[in-house]
Amino acid sequence: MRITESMITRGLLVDVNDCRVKMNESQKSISTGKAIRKVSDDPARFTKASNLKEKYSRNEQYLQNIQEAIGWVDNTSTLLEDIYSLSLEAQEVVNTAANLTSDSNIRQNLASQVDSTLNEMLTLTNSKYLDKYVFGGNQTKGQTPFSLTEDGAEYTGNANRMYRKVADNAVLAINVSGERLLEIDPFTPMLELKSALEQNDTEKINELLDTMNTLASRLSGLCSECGTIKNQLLLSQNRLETANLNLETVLSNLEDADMATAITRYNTDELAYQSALQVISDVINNSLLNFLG
Amino acid sequence: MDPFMQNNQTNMNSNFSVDIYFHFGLPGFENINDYSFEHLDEVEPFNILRARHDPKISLLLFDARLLPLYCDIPISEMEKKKVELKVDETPAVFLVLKIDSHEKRLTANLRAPIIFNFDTKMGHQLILEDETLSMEYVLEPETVNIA
Repeated sequence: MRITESMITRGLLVDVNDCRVKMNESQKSISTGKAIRKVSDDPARFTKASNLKEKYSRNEQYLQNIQEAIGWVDNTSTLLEDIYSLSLEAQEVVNTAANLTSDSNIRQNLASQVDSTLNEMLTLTNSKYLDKYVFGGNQTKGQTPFSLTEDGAEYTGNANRMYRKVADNAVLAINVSGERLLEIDPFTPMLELKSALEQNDTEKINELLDTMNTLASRLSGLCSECGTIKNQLLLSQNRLETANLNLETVLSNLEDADMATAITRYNTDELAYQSALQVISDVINNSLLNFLG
Repeated sequence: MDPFMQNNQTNMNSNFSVDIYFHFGLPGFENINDYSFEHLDEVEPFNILRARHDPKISLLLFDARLLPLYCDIPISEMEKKKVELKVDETPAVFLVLKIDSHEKRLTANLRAPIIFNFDTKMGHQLILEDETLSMEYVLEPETVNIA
């Protein structure tokens, strides 16, 4: 087969163009800092990076869930601590009343103090956070979960827990349901105390000394349960933050151009390009000279 | 025996690789348990932790002993047990580095060091509760003890 001048020139031009494309790629790698910008750069690496990015985004969503859950738990915790404080106030009242001689006027005053504590407690148990009842179970809208009757409290919420997904295979219950609060029942002893004070019933008041102590200690236990939920959330948060930092690190190793390698490759490509240009100019010059000669 | 120490004793200055088992995987890579710890002279003082069956998964590590502020970080006995260390034994502690190509800097996660027991060939990434420790501590020559 005869190789014509034009075939040589065309071949050289293809080489030069090839070098130019490679140079362009190296240049882009250096300027963007990314070794893979599209699937065809390195399909396996691109897929791996995409999977890791997907996992990273999922973790970000879990972190957001946790952040919201922490807000909910913090609010619940504050409410429970306030309810606990009210139970301590009632404990003080019962201690004072038990140590008094039978002065019915003072006991009447204490009864109205207990009444206002009771109402304050009812308001706290019917509190809302982000427009949802905190102690309504997962029934967070509609009728208030707690109401007072003559015999005690009535609960219209439910015992369900509110769950939040905090990892691919982990969910955490983040609420303390009103049912749990009703098990402890802070209302009945308060109502009984109020009634005993109004009737100046010293025997009942003395009986309530132990009941109020037990109530305070059980409410304190519930505050601790809330603290445990918060700790679990913080633990998951720390783990997810570390996971995302690990993922970011692996991703940057996968995606980011190794600057030294990219620069070396650019230099090599440029050298090849310059050589190709040199060859092509030599060939063209030679043929031109030959032609002129 | 600590492979770094072994190298010093035999006056070797060469690359080595140790297979390490992570019982709990690493956060973000919980399903990957087998890694190799690679020490390469050309990238010293950095080391590489690479998933054995998926070499694309790799982390850049930095010996925490080179960071003076990190020398007194306590590692609980419970964490030591996870790499089968005895009470009076000290683990090798490494920090995970991130190459931030935008800011052109290296950062270390001080909150989640990786501890190794090179005798049992076990590793574990723990999460410290101390919130004052930065997760993106910028490594600068003056903060690092490199001879």
